[in-house]
Amino acid sequence: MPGPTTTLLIEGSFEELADELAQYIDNLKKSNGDESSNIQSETAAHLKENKKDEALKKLIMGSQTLNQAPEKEFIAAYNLLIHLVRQSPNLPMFLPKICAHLSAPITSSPQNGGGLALSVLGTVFNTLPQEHVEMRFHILLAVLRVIRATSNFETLRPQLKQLDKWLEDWDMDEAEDRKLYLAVSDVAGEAGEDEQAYTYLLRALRTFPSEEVSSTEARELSLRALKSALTHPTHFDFQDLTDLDSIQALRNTDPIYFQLLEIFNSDLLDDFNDFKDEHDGWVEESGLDGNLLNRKMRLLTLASISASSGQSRSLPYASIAKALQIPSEDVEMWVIDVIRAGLVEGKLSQLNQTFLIHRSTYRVFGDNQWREVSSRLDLWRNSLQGVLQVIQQEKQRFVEEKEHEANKVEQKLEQAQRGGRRDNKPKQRPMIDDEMD
Amino acid sequence: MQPHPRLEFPSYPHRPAIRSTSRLSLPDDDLPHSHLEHREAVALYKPAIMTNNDAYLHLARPLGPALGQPSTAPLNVIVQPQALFAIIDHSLRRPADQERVIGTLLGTRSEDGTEVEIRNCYAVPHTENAEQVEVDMDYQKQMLALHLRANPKEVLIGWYATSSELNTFSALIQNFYGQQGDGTFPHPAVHLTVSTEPGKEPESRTYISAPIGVTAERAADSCSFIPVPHELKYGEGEKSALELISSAKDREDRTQTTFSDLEALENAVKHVLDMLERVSNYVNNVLDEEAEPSSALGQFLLNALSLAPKVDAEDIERDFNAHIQDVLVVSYLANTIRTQIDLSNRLATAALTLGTGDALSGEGGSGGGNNNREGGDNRQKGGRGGKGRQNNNRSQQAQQSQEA
Repeated sequence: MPGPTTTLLIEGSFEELADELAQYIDNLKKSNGDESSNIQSETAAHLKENKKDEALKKLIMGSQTLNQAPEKEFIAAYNLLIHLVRQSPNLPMFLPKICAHLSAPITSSPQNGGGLALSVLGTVFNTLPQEHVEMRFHILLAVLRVIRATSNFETLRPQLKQLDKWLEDWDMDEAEDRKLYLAVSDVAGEAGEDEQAYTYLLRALRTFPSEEVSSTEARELSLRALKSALTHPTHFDFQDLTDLDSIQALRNTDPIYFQLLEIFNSDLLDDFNDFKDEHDGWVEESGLDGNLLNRKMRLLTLASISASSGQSRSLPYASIAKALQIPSEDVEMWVIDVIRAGLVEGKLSQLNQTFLIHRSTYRVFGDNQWREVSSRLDLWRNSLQGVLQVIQQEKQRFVEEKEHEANKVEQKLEQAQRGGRRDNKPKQRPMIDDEMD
Repeated sequence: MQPHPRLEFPSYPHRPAIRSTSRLSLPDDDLPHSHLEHREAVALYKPAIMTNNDAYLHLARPLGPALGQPSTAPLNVIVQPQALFAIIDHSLRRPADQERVIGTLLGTRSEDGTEVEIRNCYAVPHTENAEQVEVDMDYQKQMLALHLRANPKEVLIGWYATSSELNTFSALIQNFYGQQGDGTFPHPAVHLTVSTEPGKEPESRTYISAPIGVTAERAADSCSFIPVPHELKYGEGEKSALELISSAKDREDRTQTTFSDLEALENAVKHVLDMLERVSNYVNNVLDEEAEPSSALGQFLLNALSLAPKVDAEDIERDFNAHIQDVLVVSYLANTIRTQIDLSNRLATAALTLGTGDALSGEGGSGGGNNNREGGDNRQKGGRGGKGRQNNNRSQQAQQSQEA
């Protein structure tokens, strides 16, 4: 639903306002030692000839000075400029310039400059008329630049959920979508939000159409995603990666990386060790952290063996130690680490030297797992239906009882009335009866 | 069981007497119009309430005045349903010739000013025409002072209008609410608009404002509204109450009985069953390879499903029976105590009604008391027995009191 068409409410004609702004810019320049500025007279001349766009051009050229305006007046002045620019039919021509000015540091307010620029960019973004909606893309890129420069990712985070809808609205080609996703990923990565950075990197990868999956760009991005997934200390799900076409394309171009990914996706520690023997020194060469990979592989292995423990739902310490290739006194520490990573839930029984599993993560979610979900759902549904039946029965019984009672009372009343006519008995008799019961 | 309390809905809203006379000139318009609006007031609580349907970016609020720590952190507004109800109610009672009405919003503000919660509001009379707008500022001041006295924890947040449109008058009023002194200064004033067009879903929007214009005169009567995100929040209790109220909207008599515990349980179970149905549909589709499997979703489902504790049916039965026994014992004891109290009450009153005759002689009094107690017992038995017994008892009692 469209919001109100305009949120910039100011009275006055274009000419008056342009003149005021020009005067303001002149004053600002003069106070900064630039005496030669006479934007006011130039714009006035253009306005007399009714060349609004020429006048606007002058104003925007001068608007660079606004970065030196005092904090308090900065937003007000920019809002006025936006208001003026909005009235021009050639709006797309002016906006990139404004965005560039806003991306430059705001000298008058080193502390809040980023916030001020973001605020104005937000206004530009929000007030963009419907027909230029695709311009929002460039403004958003400018926003991302500012956020990156001022390391202000926190303010962006709540807005990111609208990103998909916007991209849909703007209807741009994949390359531009990708550019935006990558920009978000970079900003997030710099802010130390590895998880977010990775998510947006994956989204960028998804934008590659199937015929481009083996292009150099796709390959580089895929490798980047692969590496960050492998080295991220809390990322354990590799299935989303293996599903991607561009990652599948690595099978031909970078078979070793792909093999490693396969191992992390579904294999155990033994396979990883075999891999290391086969490609001796490769891990170090490729710049991956060997210790981190080892640790991660152990956690994943433990998750796998607990998932495959089947009906018994318990693992003896000895088999954990064997699978993880660790001394048996370290087993508990590893199990605790796996639980902390959220891959498994369970109880350690020191007495019986076993690990009782409540829940475990399946690294590969296949048909069997879906079947299990389905059977558990059915079980739940059946028991709930039983509950519902009991409730309905009880309700029915309650209604019947109530009717029965009402009948009884009626009968008694009748009896009492009949009796009353016969021998003048007080009519409260049945009432006393009831109370006594 | 108690009869259910009923929530009554007037089929058309009450208006204060003066206003309804002022609307008498428009009899055709009055009833159906308000009907529609009333429906709408209730329909508002469909989950589809319109909080975030505009695509806009809110990254930073305008820099506050240099009091304390100036900050441009973005703002989030929380609206509580009772405030919205009051606003829509106000819109229903507006004078016929007024397109929108306004009022003051009250609530709380977090310490850093980034979270604002609208909890309360009151109407402020105003008139506007093509040339000018008039807000009763004295009224606003007095009401605000009174409200703050009654609710010292609430502060002035901003103002609402019952139309989505923003115009230059909005800018004027916004500046009035955000001004230094009586306004929300140094915090930004929040403007909440709730559209109340009959026949359409109501929409709400929240704004704060930034100055616009480079001269003081321009800035005074203009401002730039910045949309800010807002959300509707209500607790469990409010939600069920609102659901109940909204279930009355499609009924002719506009009444709805409240649910008993059992009915509520039944509804909840049905609701869960519905959801299970949906999920297992999806799972079955995945198994039949009709739907795209999502391993994240599957993993999530499996995690959720394995939350159910693993307990044997026998254990449950045993625990349940033990619990039932406890409950039965408690209820038995409670009944016993009640009977005892009842009994002693009866004995006390029996002594009063029957023992008046022998107040003078102490001996006779005690004898009479004994008799009475017997009489009381007899009466009780008589109550259970047939009519004949009761007759006998009555004559016995009469004899006893005569003797006494």
